[in-house]
Amino acid sequence: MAEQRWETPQPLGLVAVRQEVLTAIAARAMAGVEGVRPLRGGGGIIGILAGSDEGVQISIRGNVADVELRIAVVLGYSVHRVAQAVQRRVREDLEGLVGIAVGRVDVYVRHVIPPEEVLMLEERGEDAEG
Amino acid sequence: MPRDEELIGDNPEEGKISISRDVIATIAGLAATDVAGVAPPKGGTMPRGEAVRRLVEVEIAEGRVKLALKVGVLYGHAVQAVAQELQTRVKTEVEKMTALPVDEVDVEVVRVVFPEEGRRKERIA
Repeated sequence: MAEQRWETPQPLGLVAVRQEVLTAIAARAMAGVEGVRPLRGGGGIIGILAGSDEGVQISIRGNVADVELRIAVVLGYSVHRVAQAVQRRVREDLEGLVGIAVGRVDVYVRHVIPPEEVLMLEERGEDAEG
Repeated sequence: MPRDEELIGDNPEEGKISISRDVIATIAGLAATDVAGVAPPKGGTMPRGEAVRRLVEVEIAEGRVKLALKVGVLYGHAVQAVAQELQTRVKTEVEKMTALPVDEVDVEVVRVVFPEEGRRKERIA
């Protein structure tokens, strides 16, 4: 059974990190990779900035986090390379910024988006934000 | 019934000294907000002054203190390192100021705060 928190007993007491923390850091790592769009209900960049992380699922088993990511790749980018970059970045950031060991990082490429559509989404995102 | 005060000195000639749970929470909270990378656990700004005690739960039993903190961490700071630094600082500060032994400082990191969160809030305000 997966846990909601990553718990590590320290000499001075328990340190617990909630799953949301891992999810937010993974989502941010993924969003930093060129050519990728995380998938979520709302669409566009709005979701990223609002901290919506539907495309990211993390299961914590003891001291290991397994990650599942659902992404869209922008047309023209190598799907394989983008997916690998996402795997690497997410692993690095979870290990580096949170300190948890990362097991699997499974990436599901569910869509490709034409570049025009990305531009549209980004414009809409800025409007909604301002 | 939970005790709200802890006796830290009782001298028949000079009188008693007792310290309230809220005072311990405030001391712990102030030490916590001093640690780099610590962010408010809910939205908004970091509590200041006595309001910092809301970050801390205090348990006192037989003159020994147990603390539990809920915090956010600023994006870019190493979460585990911030949490452990919190434990050290809070324990040291509370022990220094109250002379009560702190047995445990549990820390729960409830969220990560991205830099743009502050900017967006300012624009709305």
